Amino acid sequence: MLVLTRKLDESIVIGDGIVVKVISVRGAGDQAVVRLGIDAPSTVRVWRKEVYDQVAEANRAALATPSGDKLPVLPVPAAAPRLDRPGLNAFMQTIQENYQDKPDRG
Amino acid sequence: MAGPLLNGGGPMAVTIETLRFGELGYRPEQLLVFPGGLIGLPEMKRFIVLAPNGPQGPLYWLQSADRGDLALVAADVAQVAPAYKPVVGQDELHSLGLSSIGEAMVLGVCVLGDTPASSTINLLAPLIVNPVNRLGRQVLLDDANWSARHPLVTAEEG
Repeated sequence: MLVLTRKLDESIVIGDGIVVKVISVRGAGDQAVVRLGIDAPSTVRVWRKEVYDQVAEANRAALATPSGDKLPVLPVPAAAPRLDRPGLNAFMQTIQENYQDKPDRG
Repeated sequence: MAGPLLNGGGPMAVTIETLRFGELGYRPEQLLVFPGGLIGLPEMKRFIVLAPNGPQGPLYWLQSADRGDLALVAADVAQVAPAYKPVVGQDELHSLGLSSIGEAMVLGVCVLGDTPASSTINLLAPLIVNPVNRLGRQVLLDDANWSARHPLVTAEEG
């Protein structure tokens, strides 16, 4: 890992157009808090790592869903909207066919 | 040809052998495409959407069109958590060809337990989908109010 020392208001540049700047430093030792400012193109996504890890872990857990192709029927809250937008209807039509037209379903 | 294909088959249809559904036929233009993959699963980009309980779901299978052994369950968030209103940036919406979140279909990746009550849905990083062009993106919200393991059904609803 590349380790750099920076003072308040100093920055580092990563690749083309990503700048990370030290905005403030307060506290010391275990209590130290560093505030960073990040300038990056909108195509570059920036995440807090512990949050990213949590989502990645939840995605991987979803792949381990029990076997079989059935899904439980859920109670739908009364406030749920009807799906009646034209684009959505066409999309829904297709995904319904995807299941009904499964080869072993006839 | 091993069996009937989607929409009667045709020259553009492709088949994939899947662990869960056996052989599936699809047309590439029917796929749901996440150009950036899912968070932590960058290879999960193209999905066949299956609705065993009918088009209203609210649970759907997203079967990978590239890996027959990989499938996950997603729920239509509008149907399971009507109060959920994710704040998604304009850049992210535009990248999907959307001008507002109201045009999107919002799905949440689910981890199913033995019962719906022990199942969870990821509301921290919803799948934002444009149902017209079938492009999607998993967006990590900057909102600590939503959890990656939110109960799929609440006690009142169950």
